[in-house]
Amino acid sequence: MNRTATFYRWLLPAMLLLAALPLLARAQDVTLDLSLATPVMDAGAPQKAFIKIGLDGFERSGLRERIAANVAIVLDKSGSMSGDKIANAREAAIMAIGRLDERDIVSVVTYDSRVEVVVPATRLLEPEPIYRAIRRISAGGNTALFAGVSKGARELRKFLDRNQVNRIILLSDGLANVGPQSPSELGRLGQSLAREGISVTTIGLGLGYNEDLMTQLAGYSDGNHAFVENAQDLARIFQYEFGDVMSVVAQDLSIEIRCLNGVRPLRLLGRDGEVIGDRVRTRLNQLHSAQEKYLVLEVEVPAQPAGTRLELAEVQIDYASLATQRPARLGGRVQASFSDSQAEVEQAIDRPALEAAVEQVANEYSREAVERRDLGDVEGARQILEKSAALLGEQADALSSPRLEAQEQEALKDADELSSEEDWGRKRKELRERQYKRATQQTY
Amino acid sequence: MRYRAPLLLVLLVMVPVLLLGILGYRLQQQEQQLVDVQLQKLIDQQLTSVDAHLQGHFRQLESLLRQRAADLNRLADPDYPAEALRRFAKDSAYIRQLFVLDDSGARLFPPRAGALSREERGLVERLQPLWDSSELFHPVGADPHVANPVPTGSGYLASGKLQSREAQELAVDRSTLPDPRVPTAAPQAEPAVAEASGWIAWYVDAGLMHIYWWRDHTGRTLGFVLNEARLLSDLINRLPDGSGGELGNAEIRLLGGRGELLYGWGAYQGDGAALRSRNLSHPLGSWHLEYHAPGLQRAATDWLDMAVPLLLLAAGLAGLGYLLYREHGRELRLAQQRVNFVNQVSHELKTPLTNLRLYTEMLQDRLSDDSDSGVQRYLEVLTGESRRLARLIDNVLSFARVQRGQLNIRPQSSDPDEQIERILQTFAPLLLQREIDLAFDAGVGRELQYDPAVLEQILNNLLGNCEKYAPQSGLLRVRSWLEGSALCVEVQDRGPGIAATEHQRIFEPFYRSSSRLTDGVSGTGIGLGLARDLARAHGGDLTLEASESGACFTIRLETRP
Repeated sequence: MNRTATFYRWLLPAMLLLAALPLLARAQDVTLDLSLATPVMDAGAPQKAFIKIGLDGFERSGLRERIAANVAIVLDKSGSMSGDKIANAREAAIMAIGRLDERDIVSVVTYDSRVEVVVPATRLLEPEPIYRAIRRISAGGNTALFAGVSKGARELRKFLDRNQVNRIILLSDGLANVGPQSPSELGRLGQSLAREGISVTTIGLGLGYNEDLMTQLAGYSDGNHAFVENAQDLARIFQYEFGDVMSVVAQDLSIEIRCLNGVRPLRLLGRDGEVIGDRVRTRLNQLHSAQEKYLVLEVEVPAQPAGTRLELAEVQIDYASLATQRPARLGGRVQASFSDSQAEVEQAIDRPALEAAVEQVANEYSREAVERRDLGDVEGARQILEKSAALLGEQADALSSPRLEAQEQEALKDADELSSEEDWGRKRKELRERQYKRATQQTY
Repeated sequence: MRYRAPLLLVLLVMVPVLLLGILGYRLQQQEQQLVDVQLQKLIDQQLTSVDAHLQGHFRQLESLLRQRAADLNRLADPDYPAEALRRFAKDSAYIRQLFVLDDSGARLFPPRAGALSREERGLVERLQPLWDSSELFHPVGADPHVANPVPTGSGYLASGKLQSREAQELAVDRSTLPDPRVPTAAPQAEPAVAEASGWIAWYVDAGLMHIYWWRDHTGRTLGFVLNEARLLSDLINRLPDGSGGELGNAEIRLLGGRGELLYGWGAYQGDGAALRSRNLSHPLGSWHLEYHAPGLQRAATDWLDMAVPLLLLAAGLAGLGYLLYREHGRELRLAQQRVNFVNQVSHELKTPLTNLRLYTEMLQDRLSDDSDSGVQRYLEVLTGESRRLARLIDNVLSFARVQRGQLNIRPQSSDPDEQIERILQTFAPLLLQREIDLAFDAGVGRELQYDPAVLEQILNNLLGNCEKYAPQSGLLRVRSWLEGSALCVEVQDRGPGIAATEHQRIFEPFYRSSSRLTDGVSGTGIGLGLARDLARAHGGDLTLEASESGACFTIRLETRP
């Protein structure tokens, strides 16, 4: 009797969660998967909980051709790019453009102290002239990164269409020294571009670029970010990036979470969101086929007596489906039940959700460690990473998750390598890239 | 004296070259100034058109935001719904934040009650001082009102409307927009309060914020805080790319409020001061444009352009001058040789002539008893001619001495009346032959200290001239007197006289008055000039006096006490 009661007690939320999945999921190219890391919580005390909002994109084969892309490649050709770097960048760009066809629109912008539109936005009917123009690019001068991105955006706007993938691919190996150069300013530009449906992918080449600036620009516009130490790897990264561009199934996802019943939102892990009272708003620029993107929201749940069920939050997603070229909406609710039994609580744990939450929490620790290290506090940074590793190790055991175990090893390695002064530049770029990829579930 | 000719030649070369050089330089300077002024004007035009271009963006933005404001106003019922405002701020690519103030300047949105996002809290913190000075939300004409009202380090503030000046390229844009100067007549009839709007540039925390405000008919103010990065990005996109074709070899830079480079275009890339700088119009008042171009190279080549012809001219003139100088030197040497030759010959002639005169006079003495009138006459002719020859040679030698500056005055005690009487007697037979009567009016009557040789030579010349040029003229009057310490002798004939135009020239050496008078009369042309030089060397002068008939000369010799 008791067993069945317990069974029902958590069957119901599970059913509700299932019900929260859109009924017409099959017909959609996006599915919403709401889960709570701890569906059954300790009764009688206020506590924190993690809500995972998972979004899966999948291709609807045979229905439509792939989505057209509108891509602006913005190449740094400042003096530091001379030699191998610019040659590799040229070849990578040409090879990547080779993957596109006449549905797509391409433009190429280069910048040093000046900005040059090498290839104005053109439909890719005749690639040879474009390749020739790219091969003529040579390096020399300063780094007018802001203006380069601006002009790239201008080229995109010539054919701007919400029903295609609009992307700027920025390659830079140096610090912006003409025009705005702070990460926040570039972030604001990225934010503005994102609102037009343009995302900026930033590829940092070598050890000279400003990883904060590049991740902020990519982050605010929900593009990708990659750290490429060797110019030879550029071709590979460009291939990944163009693969990413061509696998987009939905764009312009606006996510609104409303916390109910006195639940207070604390923070959105990994992503930038706006919290007003009990509301959390954020957005994703695009969703790819066969890929899950998720958000983890940390909330504070007020104390509840055992046996109660509580609706924690209501989620609503608005997005543009590229397949149907129509706006679409998904929604759902998150519920939790409360119990005095520790065993029941533990048994009910949603492993994938908790795994994701732990991963993001550890990722936040990693960011914190970098900030601490920037202030010169190497010891403090190491402690943070060790704390993170401890958390990861504990949860990896509890959840028997190899992913968390790998992340624990990473954190320990990071803690070791933190102190090296001469290697810090490279390490920091590596960390920023990893943090970024983990937070945004980048496809590559 | 020796360097006179070379000096003259140097002057001959230098003066025109210098004059041309100065004139050329002045001309070039003026041209340069003209070019500079024109260039500056051109640059100004270029910068102004860039400014107008950027203003165009604000106009477009203004019309867009005005529409959005009207849309939001339609939603107001009667308050602006916070939800709609938030959604608008979140979805707009241009706007970072929104605020609403009521007619007394108190904040309506972000809401005073209720939770705010982090971004909204930041906005409230930064803009509170602006909201406190609500008088800024009033149209203040074309000139932005610039003030520094906030003590909390928020530096700069400017509020105002866009400039009403229109550039041509904006005409298209503007035709589709409502004129910002005239309050738009909204579709539905609005009550009394006219809509007002304007731009505010607000510096806070070393960052610039641009705010467009719009007042609805109930007096509430909607404020749109622009996304600065997006604004700059759009402004950059309005400006030319890369080498900016039409600009040529120049560069235009857009600089921010702290003088930081925001964007640059044009083929020229160099450091150094700007040729021209211009502040942008409101609301970009703290920004400015700079025009850079290479300036100095052209001046250098121009300088070369001018120097080369001048140098060529100088070289040509110098060559010509040198040739002239050489020619002149040769002629001078030849003349010197001739003079030396004449002197030499004169000296050689003098000794035999003296012997000739001596023996003629001795013969005359010996034969004076045998008064054969024929022989006497021949002897007189011999004496007369040998005297004439002696005078001629004396003249030549004196002339040479005057020329060399070796004339010596040897004063001695002598009675001029007696001396004149004697000279006249020697001339008497000759003059008699020419039918000239002599009358001497002696007026000194005592001995004086002077050089009798000088007086004699002067008188010889004057009397010789009378004999030559005034035959059959009747009375020749000679008068002597003392004037202070000066011995004066006047010689007046009744001959044809000397034309007034010739009065000066007759004293010039080698000049011979060419009239029918002198035709067929031989002469050296040095007589009068030499006479005057002698008189002047003696501290006096020889002058031609005005007279009714004939010529009248006055000799004036300074005597010693």
